[in-house]
Amino acid sequence: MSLLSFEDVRKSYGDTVALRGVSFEVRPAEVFGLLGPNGAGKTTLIRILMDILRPDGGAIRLFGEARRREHLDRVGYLPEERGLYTKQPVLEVMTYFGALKGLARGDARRRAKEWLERMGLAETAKWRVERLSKGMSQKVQIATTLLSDPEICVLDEPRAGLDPVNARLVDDLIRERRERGRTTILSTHQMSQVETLCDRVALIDHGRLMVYGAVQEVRERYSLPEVRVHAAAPPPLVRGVEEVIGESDGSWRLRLTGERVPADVLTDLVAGGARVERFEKVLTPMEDIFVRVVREGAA
Amino acid sequence: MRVHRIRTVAVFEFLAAVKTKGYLITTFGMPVFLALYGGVLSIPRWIESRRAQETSVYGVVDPSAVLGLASDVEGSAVEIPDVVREALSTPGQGAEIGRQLARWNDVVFRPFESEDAARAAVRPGTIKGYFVLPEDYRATGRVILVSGERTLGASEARAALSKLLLDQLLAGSVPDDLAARIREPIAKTERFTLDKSGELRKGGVAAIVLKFAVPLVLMVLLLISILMSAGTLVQATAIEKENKVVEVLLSSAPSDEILLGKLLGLGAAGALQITIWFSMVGAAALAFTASLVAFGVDAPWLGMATAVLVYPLAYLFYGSLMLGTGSIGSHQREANQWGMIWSFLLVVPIFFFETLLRDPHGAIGHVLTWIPPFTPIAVVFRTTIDSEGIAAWEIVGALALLVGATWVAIRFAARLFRVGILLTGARPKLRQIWRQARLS
Repeated sequence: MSLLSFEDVRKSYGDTVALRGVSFEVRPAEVFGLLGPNGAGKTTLIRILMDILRPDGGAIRLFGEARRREHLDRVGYLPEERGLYTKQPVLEVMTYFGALKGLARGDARRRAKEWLERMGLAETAKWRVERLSKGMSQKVQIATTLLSDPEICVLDEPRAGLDPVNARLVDDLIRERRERGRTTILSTHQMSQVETLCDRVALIDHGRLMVYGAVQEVRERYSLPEVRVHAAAPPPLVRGVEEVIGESDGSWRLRLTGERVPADVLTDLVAGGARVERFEKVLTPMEDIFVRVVREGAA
Repeated sequence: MRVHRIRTVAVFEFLAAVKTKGYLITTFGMPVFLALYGGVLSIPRWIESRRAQETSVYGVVDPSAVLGLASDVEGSAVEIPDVVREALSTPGQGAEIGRQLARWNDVVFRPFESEDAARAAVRPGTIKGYFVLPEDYRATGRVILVSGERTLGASEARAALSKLLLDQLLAGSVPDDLAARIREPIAKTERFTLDKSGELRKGGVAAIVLKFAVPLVLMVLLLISILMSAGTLVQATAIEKENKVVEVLLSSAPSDEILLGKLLGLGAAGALQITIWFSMVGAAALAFTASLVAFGVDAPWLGMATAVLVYPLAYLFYGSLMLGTGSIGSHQREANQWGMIWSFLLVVPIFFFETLLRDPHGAIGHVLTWIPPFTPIAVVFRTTIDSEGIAAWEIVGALALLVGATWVAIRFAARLFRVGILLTGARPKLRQIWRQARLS
């Protein structure tokens, strides 16, 4: 079942085509990675979703219906180009944005206080925003986005400007949202975050959808038939193994011919006298897939 | 449009504006500054008036025996113009007349037997100078004035002596009523103006001058109010753009709701500021109103009522357009430059001021009334200067036109705002912006 779907969405700025008929869907309670190089069309797509821009063609469905303005009260958005009212007190700004998302003013204020407490920023409630450090400001903005507990939340580079401790805090917030059945669309260039957090991804390049699917499935699709073996001695060249390559960490990468499944290869290795400590299928990192897709697209 | 969302934006913008130091300083500091400035300007006048109130003693050596003074006599010479006297008396400023007369009455004439005796009194400063009325005074009218080195002019003393001499020369020579007319040929002038309908209306030149001054002042106040409020609006949005808040804002509410909320919130802040200013000068305004009545000027009630209706519409019309185009600017300065285009349109009727003054309901007046950007100033000017020359349907029609134009302006500005507010870096061509605005 889809919570959000883009159907053949197109958008141009004058002669520049930003989106060339993009279609994909986002499901409930998942972390969805929206990937792509700079200028690929991600921000345009998000702005179209948030009704900041109007598409030239195509449709967007939200919560099972054609998107209406009212639906957006249930969608949070943390843009990449973000800021706050620098001269206003932190609590006032958070309350204001909460009220704009449809919360009653008192409720928005109460939630803002709770979020500040949770983010370890309770003492900043009455500070002017301009007094916050970059990291603090970033956390306030994330808290403001999550204040109304939106069913769908679009986070564009949420870890930017955060130290590892606070970056982990953000990751935990995203995981917690998933556990509570909330959906998060994560736009990021940090592929390690995609691998650890995202359930499914869509990779856009030059306004086209290039890759779409579950992270594991995508990695498998773009991986070579290889397995990694940790063993005391070099493994023997058994049937189905084309080449054995030594790795710097003391392991061996076995390139398979594809005629046998990895489990059969493992059986033969053990039978051939190899003392296997660890055996795993080699999956191509998302970063490599990203680079490969973008380069192929450019070519 | 959702009202509660507009109200949320308006309340936030209003509170954000009125809590700034700049707003508080401008609102409460401006009248204080003007009062201080006025105080500083009035100090020299006050010192001068204090000096003038010191009694000036002049000697009189009178061989002609025209005055025949036996002891000190106070002199008086000044006549306050009746129109000023009337105007000042009506709002209770009679005391001021007394003060002014006292200032001139503070000349005292002291008889001296000889010039030597008078000179002896000048040297130590006992008297400021002395007049000699020679024996042939009646025939020649020649008077000699000898004053100390520090005495300049002595105009008030000469005027007072002249009055004293006139009284003495007339006494017993002509009947009293004739003497009174010789002293004051025009004791009181009752002025009337013949209006277009052939009716006589009380009031003279001053009334005519003030009748034109009142609409001018009202028009200037309207202009300043609209430009100041709209300027604040453009500036606040430019800062918002620089702070990169707009994308979050636009994702929370549609551009027309944000635009309207901003217009209402900051417009209310501007209106509050103007109200405070007017309240602070309320007492002075009351005195001024009484003077106007004394001068025979009818308060332009219809014009003022029209101005009250026109102000919010004109503000919304110009504010939305300035905000829409200002949003294209990448920073405050550029945003203000865009806003200037509309400011220029607003003041266009001023260029026709002379024509409108001469013939408020002529062709120019009619044309300007029905062109929405010029409607606010034109209709307020016409109703203020001559409320009887403009038909009720014309006022209602012009206001209806302004309502419609304001609605179109807000819709247009919202589209421009939606596109412009997200623009960063190099600005695309206007044609492209317009195309995007149409599509958005």
